[in-house]
Amino acid sequence: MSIGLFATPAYARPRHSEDKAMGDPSDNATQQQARMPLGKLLVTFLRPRPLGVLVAAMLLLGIVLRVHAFGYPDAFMFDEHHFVENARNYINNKADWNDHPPLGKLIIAQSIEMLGDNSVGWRIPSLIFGFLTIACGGLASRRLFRSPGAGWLAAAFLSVDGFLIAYSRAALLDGFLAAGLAITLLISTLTVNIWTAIAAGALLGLSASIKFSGIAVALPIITAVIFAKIPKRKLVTLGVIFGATAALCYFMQYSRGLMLALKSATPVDVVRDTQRLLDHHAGLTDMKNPWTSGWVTWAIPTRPAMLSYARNLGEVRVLSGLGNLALWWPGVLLMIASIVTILAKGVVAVSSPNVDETDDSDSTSVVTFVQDQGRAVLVLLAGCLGFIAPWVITHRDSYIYHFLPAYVAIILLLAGFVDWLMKRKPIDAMIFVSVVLVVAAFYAPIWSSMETSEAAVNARLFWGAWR
Amino acid sequence: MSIHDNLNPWWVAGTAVILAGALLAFGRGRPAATAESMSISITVIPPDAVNLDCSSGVRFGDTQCAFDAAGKPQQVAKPLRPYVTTSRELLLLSGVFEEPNVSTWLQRARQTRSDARVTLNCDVTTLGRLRTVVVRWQTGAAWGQEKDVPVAKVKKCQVVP
Repeated sequence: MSIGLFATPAYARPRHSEDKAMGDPSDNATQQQARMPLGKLLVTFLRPRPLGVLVAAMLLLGIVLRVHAFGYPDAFMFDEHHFVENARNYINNKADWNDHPPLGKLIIAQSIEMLGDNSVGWRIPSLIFGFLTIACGGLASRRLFRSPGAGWLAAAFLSVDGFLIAYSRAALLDGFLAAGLAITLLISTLTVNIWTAIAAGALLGLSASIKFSGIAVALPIITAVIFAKIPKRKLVTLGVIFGATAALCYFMQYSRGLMLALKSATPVDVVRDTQRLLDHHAGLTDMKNPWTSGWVTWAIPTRPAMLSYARNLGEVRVLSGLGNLALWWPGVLLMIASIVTILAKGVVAVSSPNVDETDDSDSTSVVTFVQDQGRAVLVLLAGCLGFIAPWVITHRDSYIYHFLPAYVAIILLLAGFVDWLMKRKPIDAMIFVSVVLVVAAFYAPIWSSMETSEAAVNARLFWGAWR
Repeated sequence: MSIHDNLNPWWVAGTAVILAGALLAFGRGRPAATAESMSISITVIPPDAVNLDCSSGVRFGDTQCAFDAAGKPQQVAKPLRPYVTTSRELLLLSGVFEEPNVSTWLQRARQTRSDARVTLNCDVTTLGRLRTVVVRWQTGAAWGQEKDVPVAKVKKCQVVP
């Protein structure tokens, strides 16, 4: 009995060819589906299956939780004033006093000009980028793990996570970076050529134009390119195109911001202003803000962002950035176990594909998973660790939202693992996915500002530090 | 083979979907009922004692707005008045400026001609909700309609400068 999304489980060991990056949709299942007549393919696709029902329920719930009472509250939440006030400054040709490059605020400014200076106008870009994260994360997972099931599971998991839902409902910048990483991971699965080099370069330049930490999107691209084994000469050419596109996008966005603030906007000015911001960030090391949290604590997490908490005569409306604990804790443990496995086995051993050694054993250990899906795991870990590294190697004040893009990579890793498990221990995997859905339904009121009671909020945020 | 290997995947998925639906429908928590006690925080300035008004024909025990539904003044000992909590929620409260601590602060502020804003941390008892009510924030200013506004009466307040 098949319980997956498709009639034919799509397990296939990765096969990598020259000039290909991580993914190739031409796996066994996809090839079989491609040979099917369209009618039969549709019937196969639409025939309800247990996992398909769970995935559909999660996707639907994720959409509802993102759009429910979207404009609430109509006042600033959390750090929104930093970004909305400066979006207004760009519209009014005033100076930006925020300490991040301009692009995130320019995106919000564009939305305000189109939809009005109100809470919906401020937050619509975050909602769009939130949906983009789900779509691109799902596609990236499908291609990285060469399995449609991994793609659907990744989309479903991204859909019902409170950390991502909260950041789809707030005019903050980290959701943009999360989408940037999801798109980059998708690009990393495409054939390496001039167009993917341009697209990846543009993503790098634009991500760094939102926050400097956006530069981390380069790591999964570089990792995927290493696996592609491109001839040296072509690699140099593509590298130059990649770097030049990134630099061009960064300078264009930054100078556009300077121009709107009626400042001199030559490349030298961009470099000078970038240096000014970098110096400013280097000095932010006192960790005195009550919302700061050390990067090690993100695994728990000890200080999830409380974006909004409004009491109204016994009625409470909360927007908490606490993630789906059924994804958070297993995801973090899987990431740690994967890193340990790679350190023990060696990067080369894990990343070396060998089609003759396909493991058909029933082993469900993380070690076997990492050996089976080594390259996909390495690309995802590159994306994850790239976004954590700035806070590990410096003493810069860190906040839980710095973890958001890394968390996208962790969810994709978990989706790949659950899909892999589904082919070995299907009921175990089904129970896990079911728990994710039930936990999401339980936390739904505090992920979408639903009217609830203080007791209900406390039952969900049962640890005092989460409130 | 463990017991759960024999589980029907449809049962697993079905149970999860039903449980999730039940949690969404019934597990959201019950907002406060009438006559429940709770704490709120509002900020006021001395002129609020004469400027804040509401207009409605609905009565809550011995209190109601100082103006009826047609906008005609009516005699009420401790009329309902509109306030905004520090978490920016609108509500109607009875007995704020009549509460002894607030009344003392108001008298002193009027004597010293101080217009300084203070925070009031109050214990209140909920009276219900008004589906629609018109309010104004300045005597003589235009009325504005508000919907679904909670109503409560003050038991005790603490004035925080």
